[in-house]
Amino acid sequence: MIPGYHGKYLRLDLSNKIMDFPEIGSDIYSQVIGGVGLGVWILTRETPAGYDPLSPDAALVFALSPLVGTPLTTSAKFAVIAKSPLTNRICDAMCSSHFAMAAKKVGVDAICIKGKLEEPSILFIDGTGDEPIRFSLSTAAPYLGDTAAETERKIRLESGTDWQIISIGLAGEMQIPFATLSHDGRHAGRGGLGAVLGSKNIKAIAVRGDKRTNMANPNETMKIARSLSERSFTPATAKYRELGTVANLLVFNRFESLPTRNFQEGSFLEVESLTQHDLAPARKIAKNSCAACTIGCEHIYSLKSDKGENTKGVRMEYESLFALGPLCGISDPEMVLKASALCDEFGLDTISTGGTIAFLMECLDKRFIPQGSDLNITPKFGDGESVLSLIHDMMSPNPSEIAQLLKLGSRNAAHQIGQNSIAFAQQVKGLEMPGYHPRKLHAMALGMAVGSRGADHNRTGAYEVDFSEHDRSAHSVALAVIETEDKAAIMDSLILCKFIRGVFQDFFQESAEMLSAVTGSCYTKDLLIESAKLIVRMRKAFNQREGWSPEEDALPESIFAQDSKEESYLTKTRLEDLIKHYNAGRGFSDDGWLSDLQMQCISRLGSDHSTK
Amino acid sequence: MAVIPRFGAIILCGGQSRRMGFSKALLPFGKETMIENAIHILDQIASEIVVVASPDQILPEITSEIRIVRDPIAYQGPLTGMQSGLRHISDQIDSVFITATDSPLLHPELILQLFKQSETYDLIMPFDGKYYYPLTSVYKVKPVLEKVEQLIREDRHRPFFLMEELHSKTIHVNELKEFDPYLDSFRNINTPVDYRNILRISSMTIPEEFHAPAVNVEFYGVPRLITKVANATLEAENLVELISELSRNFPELKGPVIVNETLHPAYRFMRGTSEFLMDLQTPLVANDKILILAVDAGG
Repeated sequence: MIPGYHGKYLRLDLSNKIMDFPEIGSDIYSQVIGGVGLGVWILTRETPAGYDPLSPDAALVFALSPLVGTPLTTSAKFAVIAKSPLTNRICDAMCSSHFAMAAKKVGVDAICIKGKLEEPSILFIDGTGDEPIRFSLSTAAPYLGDTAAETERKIRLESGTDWQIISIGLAGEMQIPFATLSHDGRHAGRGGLGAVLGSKNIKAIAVRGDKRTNMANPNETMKIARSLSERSFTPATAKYRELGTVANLLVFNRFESLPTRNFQEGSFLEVESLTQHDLAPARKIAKNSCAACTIGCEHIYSLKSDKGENTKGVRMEYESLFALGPLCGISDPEMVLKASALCDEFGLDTISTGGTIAFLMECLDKRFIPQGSDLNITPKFGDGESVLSLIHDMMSPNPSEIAQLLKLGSRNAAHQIGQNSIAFAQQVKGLEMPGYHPRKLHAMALGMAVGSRGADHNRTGAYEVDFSEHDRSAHSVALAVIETEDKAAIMDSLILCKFIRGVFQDFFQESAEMLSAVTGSCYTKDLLIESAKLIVRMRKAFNQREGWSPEEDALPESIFAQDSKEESYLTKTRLEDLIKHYNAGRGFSDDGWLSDLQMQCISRLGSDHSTK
Repeated sequence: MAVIPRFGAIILCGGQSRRMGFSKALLPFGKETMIENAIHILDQIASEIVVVASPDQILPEITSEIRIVRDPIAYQGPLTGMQSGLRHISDQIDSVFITATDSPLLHPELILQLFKQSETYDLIMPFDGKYYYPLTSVYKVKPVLEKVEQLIREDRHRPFFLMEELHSKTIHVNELKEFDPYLDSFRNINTPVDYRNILRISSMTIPEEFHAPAVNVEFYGVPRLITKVANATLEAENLVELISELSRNFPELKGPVIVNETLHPAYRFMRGTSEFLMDLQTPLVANDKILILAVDAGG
């Protein structure tokens, strides 16, 4: 067995209650590594072309990685991979902490869930003791409607704290296409992976195990781990440690890149009120970190309940803050915290929730949809109460018409509303755009347009190009964007947290050293770059199999400069030029198709990419 | 402090002041000029002072007790200046402290210490591990003059040769901290930036014509958290001076943001939101908006 790996994944067919353990060859590990790389490989081979993401045919893959369980800081992470019900394209989201370590100790490198149960259930996967790995099911009836956090708490109370649990909230049960999956308050947030689990009638998965993998060179691994931990305390990570991602808010506002009122503007006049007083450090009540992390990026803010009692607080991240704040024109931090807490409780992706609400606000402003009879739930820019009411309304048994539109996500809502409202549905491939107004961030515009899971800031680090000295020619920008996407593909496959990226002098080289120390295989910088490119191509191949077309690699029309008043504003021609150079840099055809040779290389890995 | 018998001082003030763009001897320093300031300091300790100026150099009115010597030809370098000075110091003087006019923060205690340690040596020259300070050194008049004249004849104009070829002693500056805790005696002025920095640490007003452009520095993220301000107006003609001003006004930035008198690699400077300033010598312009940005903006 290769150190760092178990050599197999767990495949569970819920419809037939059959579990087996397909082997994973060393040639696969050496090329796809783990995490998203491994996950997309399994997803592709386990699903038929053109399947419905919420059908029993759908697979939901939890992929671990060789670094999980090692002392390397920030490595306690897992990837969740499925076809997104929001985009009908690949969705790979990351989550972290104890679930990652417990799932790996089950004795497998990934868990692939297929089929569907008849009744809502809790799935237990037990890898303890000398017996073979086993699974059991129990009814989810007592937990239905509970928040993910509450479900986790209850299951561990009843079954024991050695279980680590991922769960869905009510949104996942209702199969809302932007429902999250969560563990210990952290969400695999984007693309509706919670709905995929919900569609299988699973409320939560509990795992435990005692099977550890070896490290090929423990001394070398410890040496690297110590160096990495030391570096994780330097100014390179201070932003995350001291402030968390909310630090982005004022910077983006200054760069006119803070999406405001559904991306109608790039800066928010009242931005200071979101930071100066109520979200200032004084209001911070706690800091948290994932298991095995030395950075500690989570900042918890105090929030009173409606009855005036202190709650356990809300974890606030930039993406939630932007989406439920400036994007909806809201400057009252109390409202943003409440809306964010509400999304956490229901298990809703804050970006897609805020993004779709902001879209509906603009539709109402433009009178593309009639105002509902209940004005309380008619969302208006700047009206925080209406946002809270609308979210509650969406989750109720009889949602209003506007809430039913919200439930669709912005792209599908725009298709219902018509009147070319799709031009300002701020999404790519159906995934609502994160908090980067791309009109001045050309690299990020490209990264989001070509991203395989849609508008995204995690599977690419393209913004790094915009926020650093760079050659602005389309060719150079495209190559730089490719490099950030490659880096992210490796970080997400190792897996290491993005927040540690600043400490590396030579990321690929140091990653190769880490992998070599843990697995004993001889990784090099060049081999890892090849792997990165392969992983990116595999995601694209999955999308092609599921019906991708070149028109999808685009941004909404409203993003583009209408007239060239400001030279630095993105035009449609500029984006098309960037995409053309990106496709060339990736070795795709002009309009973005994988070459025959690229397809053959992927097919040789044993995944079926043939279209229907 | 008492004057030391048979000990003199030579002030070389005939340099070109090219980088300063203004005669360093005439630069205002408090209520005096730099040359007057140097004389006042050395007067406390030296029995005799010789000022060496260039042929047509304008000097302020200097008391008649001070001998002013003109170099025969301008801008021939410090060795020629030393030659003029040593030739004109009186026979009553055995050793001299030689300085330029551009070190306004000389500590007499430090000079006294150099004198004491010079005893049997022809010269004593401070050293900081990287640089020697021949213009903050004590020299024996006779042997040094002879060697200076020889070097000039041989067209070897570096004062460093004196150290190599005479019976000399070097002393590490750290050994002198007892007499000048911040080693201010070794701070000299070559540029307007140096000049302003010395005025700032001396809490003196910068004369109108020597002000640097006032720029607005914007703090985001950790720097804002540390300084507790959103922005600050500081005067700096380039980023080197700006970093020094940031350190002086916000000492709390030293360590987390400013390391070894430069910006920590986790941060970078921008002018506005489109121009990255990678070269610390980039000239700044009044009203520039300078952002200190974390390298990992985004994410």
